[in-house]
Amino acid sequence: MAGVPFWIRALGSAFILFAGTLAGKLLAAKLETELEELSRFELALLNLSTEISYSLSTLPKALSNAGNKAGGDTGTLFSLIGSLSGIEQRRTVEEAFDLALEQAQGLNVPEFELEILRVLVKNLGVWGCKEQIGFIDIALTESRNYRSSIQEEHMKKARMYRSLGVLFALGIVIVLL
Amino acid sequence: MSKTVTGVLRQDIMPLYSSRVRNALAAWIDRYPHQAEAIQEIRLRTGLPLCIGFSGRDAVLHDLIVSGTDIEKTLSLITDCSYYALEDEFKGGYITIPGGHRVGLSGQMIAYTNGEHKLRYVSAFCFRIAREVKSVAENIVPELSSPDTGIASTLIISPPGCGKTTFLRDLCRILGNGLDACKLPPAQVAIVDERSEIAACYGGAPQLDVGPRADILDRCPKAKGINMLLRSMNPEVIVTDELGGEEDARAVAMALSGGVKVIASCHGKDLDDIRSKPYSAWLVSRGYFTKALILSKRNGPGTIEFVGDIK
Repeated sequence: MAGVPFWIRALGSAFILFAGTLAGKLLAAKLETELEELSRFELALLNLSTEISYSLSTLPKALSNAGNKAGGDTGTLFSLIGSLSGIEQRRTVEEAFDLALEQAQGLNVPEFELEILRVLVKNLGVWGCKEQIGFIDIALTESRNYRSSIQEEHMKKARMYRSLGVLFALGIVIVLL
Repeated sequence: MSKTVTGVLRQDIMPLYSSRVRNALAAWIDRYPHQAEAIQEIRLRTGLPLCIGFSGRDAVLHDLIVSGTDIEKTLSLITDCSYYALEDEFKGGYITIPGGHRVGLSGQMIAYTNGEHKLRYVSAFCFRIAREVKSVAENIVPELSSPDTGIASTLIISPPGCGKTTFLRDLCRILGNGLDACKLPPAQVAIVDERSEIAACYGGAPQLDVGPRADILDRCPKAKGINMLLRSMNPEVIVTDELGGEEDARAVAMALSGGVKVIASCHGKDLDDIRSKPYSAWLVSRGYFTKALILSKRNGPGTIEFVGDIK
């Protein structure tokens, strides 16, 4: 490294520092997004419950409305299921869910959320109002429990990834310099 | 041009079945295309073969046993994946689907401690195909109207299955459009469709042609509906099906006293039969209805036995 001019070494070090920090931030953001999507999922479920119990909206419309209000990739998934299901589309909600997953492969939806949804869609639209709200409440409770159980760990990990990214890059810079 | 029965089946009804039921029915239709045009109803019963109903007979497809999954899929689709939104309609035992077709349901009722009953486990459907017959009433309108007074208040009388509702629907269409041949101008028609048979509404919108000037109160009790329409819609003619009790008779009398014409149907064989029933006799004897149309099945549904003044 002795023959390399200082400005090139300085530029290389800055690049490594930037890349390390970015990698740490991206890993941290992934964990934070999972928590955020779970929050959106809970919001979507609450909206769905309201649409069903107070507005008596049809399920495709209720899913679309709940998805639009929740936003994010979770909201997009809800809206997609809503638009693919119903008498006009000739599809049950379960069939629409499977098709939505095929059509929306780029969506960043947590696996746990998909598992809850997979069970929920089997019971959506085939029960009376009270039972329907009951099934949504169960899904909501499961999601809340899961989110609270991983939240602390995810936040710790996110902080750690950010620090590790910077430290790892610093280590390389020191070695190179 | 009216649709063929097989066209209606393929477009409105078969997409609501699971693929195995749909395929079996499609194969049967391909095999017996002429018989298929006479289909009146299709019955799906859990654990039993698919049954196709015609007038007075049926065909059973023993090769296809309808499963619980088939029923679940159909239930989900006919309710637009929204069973909860139709719970109250299920209490009536049927729902109307797009196209105006009626689906009857049966299964297990659950009794709640508050005395309420709900149909919870649906195990059978009866799809009754809506057939719209237009222009059947055109020839009788001259008998029921005059250029000076317009359409007369008319009672349509017949036993079940003779075409009362078909005539009522066609009269709504004709009155809403007006009829030049009788110098009848278009009229504002209000329909109280307690059993969803006249206009066959789906989501509040009529699925059958009831004319361009029809206001419909769907699934509303007749007496209540007539009073509501009188207050709110300023109708010239009120049309309703199956007059029965005292409340209905009083509501009709109130409408007629207010200068609105009423066209209604009533179960019965003839005018003597009508005069033997207390409330319809009261309406006829007091002169609320001035014309009558009596139908029978003598030469097939819709045979006109009498049309003219009630004497």
